Amino acid sequence: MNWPMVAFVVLGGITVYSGWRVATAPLVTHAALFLAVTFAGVGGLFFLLQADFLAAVQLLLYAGAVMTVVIFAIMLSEMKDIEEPRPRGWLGALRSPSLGALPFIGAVLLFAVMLVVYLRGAPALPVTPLPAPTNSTVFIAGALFKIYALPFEVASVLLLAAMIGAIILTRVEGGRRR
Amino acid sequence: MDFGAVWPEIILAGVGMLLVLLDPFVGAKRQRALGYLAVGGIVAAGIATLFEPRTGEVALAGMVILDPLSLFFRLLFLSAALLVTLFSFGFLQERDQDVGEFMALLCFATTGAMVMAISWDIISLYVGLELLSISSYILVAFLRDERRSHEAGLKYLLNGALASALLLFGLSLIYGLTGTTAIPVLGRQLAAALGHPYGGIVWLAVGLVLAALAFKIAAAPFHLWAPDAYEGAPTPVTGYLMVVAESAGFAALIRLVSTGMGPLSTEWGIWLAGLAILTMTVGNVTALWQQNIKRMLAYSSVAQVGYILAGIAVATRGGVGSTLFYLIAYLFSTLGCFAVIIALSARGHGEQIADYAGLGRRRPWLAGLLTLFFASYVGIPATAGFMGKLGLIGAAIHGDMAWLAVGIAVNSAISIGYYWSVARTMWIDPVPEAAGAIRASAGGSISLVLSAVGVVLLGLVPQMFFHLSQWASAGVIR
Amino acid sequence: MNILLYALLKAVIVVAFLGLNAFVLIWAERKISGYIQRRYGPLRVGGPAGALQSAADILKLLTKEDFVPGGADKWLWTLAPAVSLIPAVLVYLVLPIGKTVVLQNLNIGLVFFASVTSFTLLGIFMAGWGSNNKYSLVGAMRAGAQLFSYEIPLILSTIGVVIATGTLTLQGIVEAQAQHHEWFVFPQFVGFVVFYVASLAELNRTPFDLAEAESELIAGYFTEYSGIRWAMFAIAEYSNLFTTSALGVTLFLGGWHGPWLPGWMWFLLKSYLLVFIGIWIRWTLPRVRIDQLMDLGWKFLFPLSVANVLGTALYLMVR
Repeated sequence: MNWPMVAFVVLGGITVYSGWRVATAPLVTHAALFLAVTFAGVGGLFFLLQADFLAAVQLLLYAGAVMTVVIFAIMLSEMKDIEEPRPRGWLGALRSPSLGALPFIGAVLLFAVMLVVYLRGAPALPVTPLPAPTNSTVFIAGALFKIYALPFEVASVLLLAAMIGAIILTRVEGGRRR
Repeated sequence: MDFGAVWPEIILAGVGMLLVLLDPFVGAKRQRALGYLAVGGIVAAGIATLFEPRTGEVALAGMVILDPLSLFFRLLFLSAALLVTLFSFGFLQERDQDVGEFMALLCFATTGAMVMAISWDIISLYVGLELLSISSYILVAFLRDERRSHEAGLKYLLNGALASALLLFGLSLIYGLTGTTAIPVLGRQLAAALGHPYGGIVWLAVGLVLAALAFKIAAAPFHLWAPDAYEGAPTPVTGYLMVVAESAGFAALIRLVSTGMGPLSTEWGIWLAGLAILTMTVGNVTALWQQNIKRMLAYSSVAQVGYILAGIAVATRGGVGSTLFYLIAYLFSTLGCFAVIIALSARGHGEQIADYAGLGRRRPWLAGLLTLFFASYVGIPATAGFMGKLGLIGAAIHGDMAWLAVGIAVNSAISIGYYWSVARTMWIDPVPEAAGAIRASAGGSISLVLSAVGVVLLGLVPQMFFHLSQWASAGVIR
Repeated sequence: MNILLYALLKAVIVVAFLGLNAFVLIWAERKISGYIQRRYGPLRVGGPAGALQSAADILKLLTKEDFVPGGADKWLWTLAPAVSLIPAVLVYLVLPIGKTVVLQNLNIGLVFFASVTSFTLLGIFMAGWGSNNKYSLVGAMRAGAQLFSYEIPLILSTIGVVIATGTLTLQGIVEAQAQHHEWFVFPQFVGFVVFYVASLAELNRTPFDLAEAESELIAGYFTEYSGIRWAMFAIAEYSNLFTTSALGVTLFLGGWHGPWLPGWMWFLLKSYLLVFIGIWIRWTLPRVRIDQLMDLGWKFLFPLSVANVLGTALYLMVR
């Protein structure tokens, strides 16, 4: 048991627990805050992997910006407790998001698949070795602006389109201009 | 970094941005100018496409490929966008909608579709898909005064987001299994991974990707969002989605599945063939009961997707070639139908099939053209659809899937039912008392004529287009 | 074990500094406001130079009843002050206090700073929501809108410096300034102005203290807090005042670089000079309206900071 391992277990535990609470918290504000904890936990895991730039961006964009937007969305919509309908029958009990076994089994299966892929998949096949993570910022910049320059630019157009769309759909003056 | 390989996309996205920028400064009376700008941009992008290399060279650090297929799809999307732009003018102005923003989103969506079609890497393909999807969600919900449009937008968004999530998960599994995002390398690596003890996961990954793309092209049983979204969307957008969004889905299928997963084709071929049969049957049978013409066409497009899928399912070069040919036929027939519908629904006229009563006597030309497009859908000889279906059936027989050919033939027979009911309403039923005047806009008429010419040309002298689609499909199956 | 002990030591130093900083700044704020606004109280009471007033304050806050308002969301309400302290503590990790004095020289120092401070909002939101009080909630929403709007120009204004130096480490940025004997406040003047205005808004200080505007909202999101919990908010706030000024010093005013005196002294001197200017502004200017605040952020500072980034990049390209 070394310290990184302890840190990993603690962070992972927090992330998984809060991820579960996001789905099951009865109050949507609580769910949002648990989501923030999940994001922060993932950021911490990135730090453990020495992907420090990714970690900082994860915190900045997800725990910071995305959470702000989520919270504003909650605040601007009607506040109500989410009441889970009482599960009916054994199938309903199985399916219910907070009590049921089905979501749990699904999650475990997904987890198993990912574990198998990421533990066994990559080493079996020729993978271009990544440079030593001395400065992941430089590496990410190189990947983003050289190799993936086209997707990067398309993503910027995508964000522009989304922003225009948000403005079009939320403009208040009632459909007509001028 | 040399962006020369994507000039058409740069031009189109640039025109989109210019439209948004100019929009606030252009008065309500001059909105038409923005439409002309969009048309100019699309034409310019088309010209730029013709100057791009088409020898199969890979550009932009392996992100895109400039092969005949890229050329084909770029031109396909641009022609569809051009026709849609032409018949949206009048539609938007009648409803007092903002032309600039609509055209800008149309340009962005088309850019996304083009990026998808030229992608040679999973990542650029996905980003292009998202650009197309997000722009189309907004276009579907564009009519802000209509509840129906909002509902359609929301449904499309939720289903599309689910499909994106599935696709992303499948792609991440593929990356985990192969360690690469490059489409040309994928198939070999996946086939190698299949031999390992955890090989089953390959099928999970492939299945997820197929399911997600089936969502995007609205193939049964993933089509349930389509009728609602297509009915509620602004009519030009419905036409655009049916042609561009679905063709882009097929472009992704060809790139990712036909080429990328080529070595596994014996397995996914069967899956896709099953999907094709199911899709065409469900689409045709459900269409029989529809009262709303847009909804009927939505189901009919589901059926058409089924036919087109058959070409990909056989996993031969000929199959892909007939798919491409059918996509051209589908483009002209569909956009022609929508040009007619827009001309008819312009002045408070309904979209119900009953509203078409007596059209043959009031506007014989419109009714005649609509009948022509329907004939092409069914596959009556001397129309585009006939040559298209002939190609697909031939490909199915060559690909040892004769039952698929039988399915297509049987389904075409079923589809006569609902097209006939509209035709009968138009030609035989009496003119209703309170029928308003019908006036097609200039742009609408142009696109109507262009579509009709296309349908007839493809039906009578298909050789040129046939060679084009065969040439474009050359490098797909390796 | 050694690593752990070392980390613990660092944490203790930071927390001790936090307390000291708050102690000094509360005293300073009182005194300065007294001089600026001719307030008799702060100028006369509190023993030698008013130093005992702060001590009395602390004693008062520590001995107050720990009171939880009825109907509060207990967990959120209790955790909020602690959550708002976390970013205040974490930013010390990357501040270059002297040439070799820095707790952890991360090579993404600046991004780390920005990402950690973006957490502040969560604490504020938890306080506002958890208090079950409309003033708190409105205050939290205002604070959220404000933080969000000003974070963008704040971060963009620092990018000019990053482009000029080509590094994200704060230590490297200071060294680049020391090497050329030119503080970035001169070539990056626009960036500095945007940075300083936006940082005042980020700190929720007058003229941008709409989140706690006492004439409208009693005290905004910490209306319901008292005693030690309120003190935690205050400590975090004064700590943020110091660290943001320190970041400004690091980016634009040469950090620890300066003649004769040792580096850490220069660092503290410059930082507290900026803090002093902040206090000066607070007691001189009236509060702006919420729409003016948003206009200033989105229509003035944001385009200005973008122009600054573009201008810097263009200059470096054609040079």
